Amino acid sequence: MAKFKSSAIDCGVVEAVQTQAFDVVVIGGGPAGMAAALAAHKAGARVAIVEREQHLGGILRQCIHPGFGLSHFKQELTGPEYAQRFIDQVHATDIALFLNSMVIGIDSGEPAEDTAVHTVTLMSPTGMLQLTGRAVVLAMGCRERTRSEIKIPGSRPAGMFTAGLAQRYINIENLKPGSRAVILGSGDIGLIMARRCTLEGISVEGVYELMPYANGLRRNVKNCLDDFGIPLHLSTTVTRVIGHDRVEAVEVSQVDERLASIAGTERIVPCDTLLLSVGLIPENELSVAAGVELDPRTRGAVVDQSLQTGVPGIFACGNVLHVHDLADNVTTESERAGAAAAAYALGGGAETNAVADTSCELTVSPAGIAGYALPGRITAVALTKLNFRVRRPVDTARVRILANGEEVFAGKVRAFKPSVMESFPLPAKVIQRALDLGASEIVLSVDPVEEA
Amino acid sequence: MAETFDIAIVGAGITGCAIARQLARYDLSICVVEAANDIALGASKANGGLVHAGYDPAPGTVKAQVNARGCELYGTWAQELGFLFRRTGSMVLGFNDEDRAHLEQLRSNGLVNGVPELSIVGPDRIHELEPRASADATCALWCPSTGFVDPFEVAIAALENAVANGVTFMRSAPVEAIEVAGSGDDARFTLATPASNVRCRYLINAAGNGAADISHMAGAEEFQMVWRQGNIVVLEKEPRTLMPLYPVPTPVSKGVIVTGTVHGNTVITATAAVREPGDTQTYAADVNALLTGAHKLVPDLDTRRVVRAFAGGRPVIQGTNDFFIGQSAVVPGLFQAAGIQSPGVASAPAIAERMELVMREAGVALRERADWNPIRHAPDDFDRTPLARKEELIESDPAWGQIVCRCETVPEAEIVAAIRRRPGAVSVEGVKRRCRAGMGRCQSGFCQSRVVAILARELGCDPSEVLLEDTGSWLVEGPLKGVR
Amino acid sequence: MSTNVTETLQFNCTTCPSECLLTVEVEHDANGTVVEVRSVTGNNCPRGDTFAHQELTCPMRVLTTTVAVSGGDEALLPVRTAEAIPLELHAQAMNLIRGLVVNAPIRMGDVVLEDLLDTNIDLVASMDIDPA
Repeated sequence: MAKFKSSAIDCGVVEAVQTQAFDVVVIGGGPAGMAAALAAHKAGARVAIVEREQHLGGILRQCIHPGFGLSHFKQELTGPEYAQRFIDQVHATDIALFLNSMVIGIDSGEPAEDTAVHTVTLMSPTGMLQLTGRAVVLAMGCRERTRSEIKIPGSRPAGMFTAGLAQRYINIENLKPGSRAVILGSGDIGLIMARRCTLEGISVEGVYELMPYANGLRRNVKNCLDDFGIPLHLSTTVTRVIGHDRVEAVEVSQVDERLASIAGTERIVPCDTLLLSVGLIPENELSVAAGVELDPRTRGAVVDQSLQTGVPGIFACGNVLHVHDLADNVTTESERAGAAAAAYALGGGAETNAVADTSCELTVSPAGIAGYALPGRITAVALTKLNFRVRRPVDTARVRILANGEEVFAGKVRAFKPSVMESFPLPAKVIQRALDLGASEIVLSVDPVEEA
Repeated sequence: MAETFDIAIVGAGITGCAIARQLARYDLSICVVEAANDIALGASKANGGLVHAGYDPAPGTVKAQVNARGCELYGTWAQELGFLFRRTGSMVLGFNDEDRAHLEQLRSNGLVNGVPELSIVGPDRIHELEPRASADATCALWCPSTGFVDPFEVAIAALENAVANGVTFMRSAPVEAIEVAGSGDDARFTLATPASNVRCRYLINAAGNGAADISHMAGAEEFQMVWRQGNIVVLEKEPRTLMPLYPVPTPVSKGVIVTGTVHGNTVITATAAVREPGDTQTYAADVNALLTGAHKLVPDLDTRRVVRAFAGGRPVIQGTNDFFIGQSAVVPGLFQAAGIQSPGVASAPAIAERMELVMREAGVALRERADWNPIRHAPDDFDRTPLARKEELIESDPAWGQIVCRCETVPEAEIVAAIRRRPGAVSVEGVKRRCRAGMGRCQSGFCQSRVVAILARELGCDPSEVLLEDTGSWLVEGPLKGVR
Repeated sequence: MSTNVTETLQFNCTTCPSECLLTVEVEHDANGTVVEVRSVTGNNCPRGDTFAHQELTCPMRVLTTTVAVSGGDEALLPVRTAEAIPLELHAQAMNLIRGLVVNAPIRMGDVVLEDLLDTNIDLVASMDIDPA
């Protein structure tokens, strides 16, 4: 795969830059980074967190709504509360914090003298700095898909915001982004913003969704739309933006089963604001520059069962790895990554898994209606947590694990929704069975079944 | 109240800015009058940034005379004005014998037009020059002099240099009427704008899509503009910048071209359809045509990674496909630079040079100034700056270490500089055009609110008064909390 | 003679991430007022039953919003009601909260407004805000 080398790090003059040594350097101080750092610290590692904002907490600082912590803390918290609990924990340790600091490169792109140590170059208003660590945890989160990526035609006036940007204006900047909004996309952020706008006096004309089903969690459809009588228009999308200087209206059209707009169904919806909640994309430019291979399906790193990427010592977790719907799941995953990174760093770069078996080298691929499968590689015969997401909702389907065309495991029949990131424990004996069959790949297939 | 100048140039597009820069070396008072609130907001904005070599225009046309010369001049202009210019060379790809005949025709055109070093090459050489070019291409016109620029940067650099040499820039000053006095009058023309009036002895019409209106207001040549609209798509940065690849041209346009940009992105430019004047909408059919056309030239292009799609109108004079550069035959003292459609960017330095010649021949006194400075220093571009210089910058001002746009690595100090330069940015898009904050893959999702705050602080206004682009493009209303 | 109507409603329980789809049989009087929740099915735990009853009589929600901050390193403090309050009070509560200003520093859990709209529920800070 092509290596993208940022122009920012291509010069060799680094001797002047100060260096500080750690065992584990965590990039990102959001929920993923904090959980990873705490887990690595607990395992005895010297840990640093690099965060580009002046505060820890990441995107949770602007996710002021409730719905967090139900599984991790067994109580319903708001995003800031969930973040604050971790911030307090981090402050109670000696984890080194580099705030207001932007990582501009991981390693130099050139093979380092000591290949067992990674170098993270960062800059802040106080200058440039290099942190070294045997392990690096990538926890940079994700960004929002833009209007251009979904190719909405029309004009380019002010008043088009990604839902997250509007959320920042409303919840952080104390600024009202408009008065009359249309929301495209029924993902969780879109739904949450429908309620936030309504409460803040911005009328929401409707939420439009390309797919024939809502993309967000059911709780959010109920609490954010139904509670306020905001209509959800399924199989309908924005087909034109109207207005030269500021958004004046959008044209919406119904779509057919192939998601193509149906001529004759166009309708003009007057509004001054268009919020886009049309998907999240892991922010992996740094990872790619460091030589990390990405999975085109998740747009996150290809990792093994310990969340280690293809570059030894570099781990990934949270939304930079794959997009999660619940922060609690980010925490669980990141604790695993942090612990694994610490074990790697403290174990001198040796195998991280006690039962690692050099003869175990399996790739994992999705099939059926599974959109992706994570981890993409399994290198140990041990109970392994598999994550996946289905591409469309089904009432009755089952997970099947295939090796060399043979079904080595079948889950129970149940419903699956694309809004939910699923997790599934793959027993060690199933992995062993795949190896016994001489397989180099196991397939995680989610297959709809006819109801009895 | 009206200020009087020797010369007023209507239009701060790339043409007007280049002319202003060219004439600034002479002992003349010059004013550039622009309808919009910033530079290059019209036809110059909807442009792929290609510096075409000049084998395309029919020999004998004005275009043929200025295109190759403009392309040649870009080397010097880039050096003096400190803008990015990459002369990568280009290929026109042919896929069959009919195409090959077209390529031969282009090559002989090019020879007449003075385009250097044109040759027809075969598949092996094609692959060597651009490994990503379609393997189906059987032949290509290889043209080493083609290059690309950021058209905003060229226009901004030219006008900055002109302003540094004493030229006045009036923005948000749409010309609403022109009064013409006797030909000997030192203030023959009076331009009425909403802000104030501008009087001048010589008037240069570089108004792009508004050129017909200006000519009409002055009682000069009557012509009509056709809005030949083009859609353009920008893709994410690539590990290696693509060489411009052209298809065999059609009678009205050069077809769908794929090219790298000075910032490392890939651009697909452009469709051509006559639409209502002022229509800058993108169309699904156009965008699809661009993506399809691009795949024909570069089959492995990842067209899902669209950063931005945009559109604009090329100012075409009805009834001719050529530029109109010269003194008005009806109203002496009025100089026309009209119908500057494609290849307007490539030709700009030569159009300026030609305008100078036309004026000299018309008897305009051009006396060189002793203090003219041709050099414009580009602002520090943090992302491109070597590490050692980065450290120096941060040490000089911590705001250099405060990254605002994370996609393009633009620190706060660079944004402040873009606002404080003369002429500076007055809008979020103006900041973006000068230092690329918000130009990256997230399209300002992360940094817009921060740029708004910096603009409000620097311009001394409320965030609710900050504009995305021009009048009416407000971004936010007032505060939500702490108010009754 | 009864003019009461019995209808069957379906909605999701939002108590936990399982989001059980509840099927609820409910009896209304002529005014639409709930007389009796006759049956709740589809819930995998007893909390679903409680939720359904509450939802049909007086839906309760936690209100989250922001309050202006004076002298802090952030312009806004995220706040929440300590417990759920009646949904029908949310708009009124927003009007009340709009004009509030709190002074930094603030710690998570600090009470911003006691006994919001006589609900016996406080409005509390969701996050720390340090002085500017």
